[in-house]
Amino acid sequence: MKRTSLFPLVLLIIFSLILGACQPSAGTTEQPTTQVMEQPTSEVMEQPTTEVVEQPTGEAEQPSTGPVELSFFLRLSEPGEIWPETIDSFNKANEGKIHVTMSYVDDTTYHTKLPILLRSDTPPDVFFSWEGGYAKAIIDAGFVEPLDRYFEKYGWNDRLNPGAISLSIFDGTKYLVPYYMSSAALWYRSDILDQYNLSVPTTWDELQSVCQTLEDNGVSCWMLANKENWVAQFDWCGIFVNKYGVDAYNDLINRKIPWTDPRVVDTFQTLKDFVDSGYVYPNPNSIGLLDGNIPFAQGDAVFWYQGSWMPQVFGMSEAPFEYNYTQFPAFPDQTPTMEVFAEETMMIGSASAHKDEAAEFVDWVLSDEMQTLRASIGYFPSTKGVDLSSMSPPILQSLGQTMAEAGPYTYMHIDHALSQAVATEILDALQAVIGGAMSPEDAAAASEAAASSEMGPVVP
Amino acid sequence: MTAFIPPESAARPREEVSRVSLRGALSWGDFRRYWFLFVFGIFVPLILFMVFVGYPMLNTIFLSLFKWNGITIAKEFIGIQNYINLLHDPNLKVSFINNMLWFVLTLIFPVIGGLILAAILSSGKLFFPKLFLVLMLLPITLSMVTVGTMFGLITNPVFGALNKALASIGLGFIQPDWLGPNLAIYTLIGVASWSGLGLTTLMFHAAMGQVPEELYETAEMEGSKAYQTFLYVTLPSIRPVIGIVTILVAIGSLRAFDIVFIMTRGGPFKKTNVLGYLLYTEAFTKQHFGYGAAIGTIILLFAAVLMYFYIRQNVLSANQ
Repeated sequence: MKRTSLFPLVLLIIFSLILGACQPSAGTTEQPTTQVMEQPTSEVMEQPTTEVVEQPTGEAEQPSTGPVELSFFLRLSEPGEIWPETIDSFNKANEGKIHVTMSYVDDTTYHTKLPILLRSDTPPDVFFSWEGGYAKAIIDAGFVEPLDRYFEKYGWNDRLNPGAISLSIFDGTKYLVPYYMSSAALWYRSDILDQYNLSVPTTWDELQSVCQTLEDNGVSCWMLANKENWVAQFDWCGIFVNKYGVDAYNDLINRKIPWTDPRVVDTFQTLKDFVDSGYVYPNPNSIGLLDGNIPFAQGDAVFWYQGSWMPQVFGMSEAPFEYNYTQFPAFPDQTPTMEVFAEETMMIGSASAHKDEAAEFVDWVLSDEMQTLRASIGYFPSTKGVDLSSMSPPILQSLGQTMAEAGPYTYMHIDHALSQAVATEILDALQAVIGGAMSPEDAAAASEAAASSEMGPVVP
Repeated sequence: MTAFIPPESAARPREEVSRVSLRGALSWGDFRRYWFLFVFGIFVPLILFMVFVGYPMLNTIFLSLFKWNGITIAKEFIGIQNYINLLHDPNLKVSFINNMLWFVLTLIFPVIGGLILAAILSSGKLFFPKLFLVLMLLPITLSMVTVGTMFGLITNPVFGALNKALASIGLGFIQPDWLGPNLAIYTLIGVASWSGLGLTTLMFHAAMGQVPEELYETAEMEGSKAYQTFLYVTLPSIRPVIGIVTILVAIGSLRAFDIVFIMTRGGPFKKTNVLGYLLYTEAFTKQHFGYGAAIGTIILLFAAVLMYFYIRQNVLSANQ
């Protein structure tokens, strides 16, 4: 063959190689997922391997030769070795039967990575999800297996806290399993209150009085470190729920009342008045959550309405100051309501060929042993009757008990309850109100515009 | 800036250069004679470009015609609705203004500042000029994430070194909120300018080194003062480089993202949003992938216009 005649051949080879590399593999993204979505649940369970998903490896095609391989995808936000330990112990206990492999990314990446994986031809069998709006988007897309039968089979209905069960239900069907709960609490510097002979305020009016005394002594009453933009929603929700009731809040979230409702405007106004009164530590929109810990630790701010994870921010048992927690101050004619929500939950993929094994793994995570292990690093269990004595500092044991006793579901804060598209706009508006750049009325209107655009009109 | 043309081509007479024109190169004989050059010098890079740059670009434009949350498999075709929505989006206006502000201010600080520093460096009147150059280049070696984190700590209103320094020299009464709504965008631009100053200084310094010494000698003989020499000798001589740096700064201002992401995340209340960050929040936070793609297409158009001027400037400077 002449040298020059190689030219078209070389071109052809290069073209083929590149195009070949760009081709999706045999099982396309859409096909397996669509197939599974069309299958009734019972059929999928009866014919798990041959019809539903093509197995990429020879091992999986011959299940008798090795354990069932489960993939578990999560965002890793916690310190320590809790997940590796959980998975190792599960794999050991199920040696030869089931083997779980974990892969993880950071919080921000997870938002985009999970949908890509779920659409791929190798979706995870089990995966982490946020509760509320994020979970609903994935469920609506058909990627999540209904779990009611597993709730029955493993007795999760009896073992999980009532609040955790409520959070797992979407349109009457259970889709997720909370394994780590959180709550909001009003953290305060007990030593500073003692220093000024002040008692813990139980009502909004008492809080104003305490704040005035503190301000008179040159101490900021309230920390509102809202640089990250999600922090102030706790305060906003705390005011709304405790002033107008949890039912009104849930109506707002469920689009039964509009965001232009006078109660919404009043809540923005109440928070703005509180900031304008000078009770809040300066520059709230420029201080991050971790930055805020410095003035709090130095005793320059006394109250902080935040999540149950704050002892970790304070330095756990080594916190160099005295602190305690209480519920959000009550408004007239209202009983304080505690927000208890699922910080982390698990789902089983509808495309998984091993749903039963996946459920077994989820059950392992919910076991007393594993929930106690999580409690030992300060993560509140989602199941009942877990020994909290390993939680340190002891204030966490007390908070865990309060959460367990909070009863059924109360409410979720904005960016858990709603999709990010709506929540982002509301939180931006809230930040603008705190910064004095937007009126409460305009903030309410902006929130309503976002909710209307994403969720449709109000249906009373 | 003759470095963009192979030396032999630059030295070749104009007629000979034009003979190796596009038309001449496409003859089958040339094809057969230089097949290796055509395959690995043109077609392979072209194919790689199409796969890794062209396809994503076209896909972005295509995606901008859909409504898609990034989760569902199905996408809803909505034509140019995303572009119509963009016209009424106040966030786009804020972002665009911020990008323009970014461009103008980075033009002033890194470009004019770089010119002045390069002139000082080239004057030969500076002690330890190499040390000075190394110090100027130091920020270039830092990633924008590092720079953003560092300045985030420096400007922190609780413990930031900047306000502490102001207080220590008796200016404690100023103590501005550097990341507050009034100053945040200027703080970000200042940080980006600091980061880019070394590179522009280096480019101007290199260009000034190419100015023929005779021009300076003639100016000196005619009694030209230092500033006159700079204005009438140095500046005209390095004009092509100034043009290229200006366009690079303009393109850099369109790419502004990382500093915003690290230091403010577009806040407070969207005051520091820029086009790149707006795209990110729309696509990856709010999961409006079609809308985000429409913003990406707008950025692409701006970048294409700037690239046109950049390439033209390059050709002009090469011809000179």
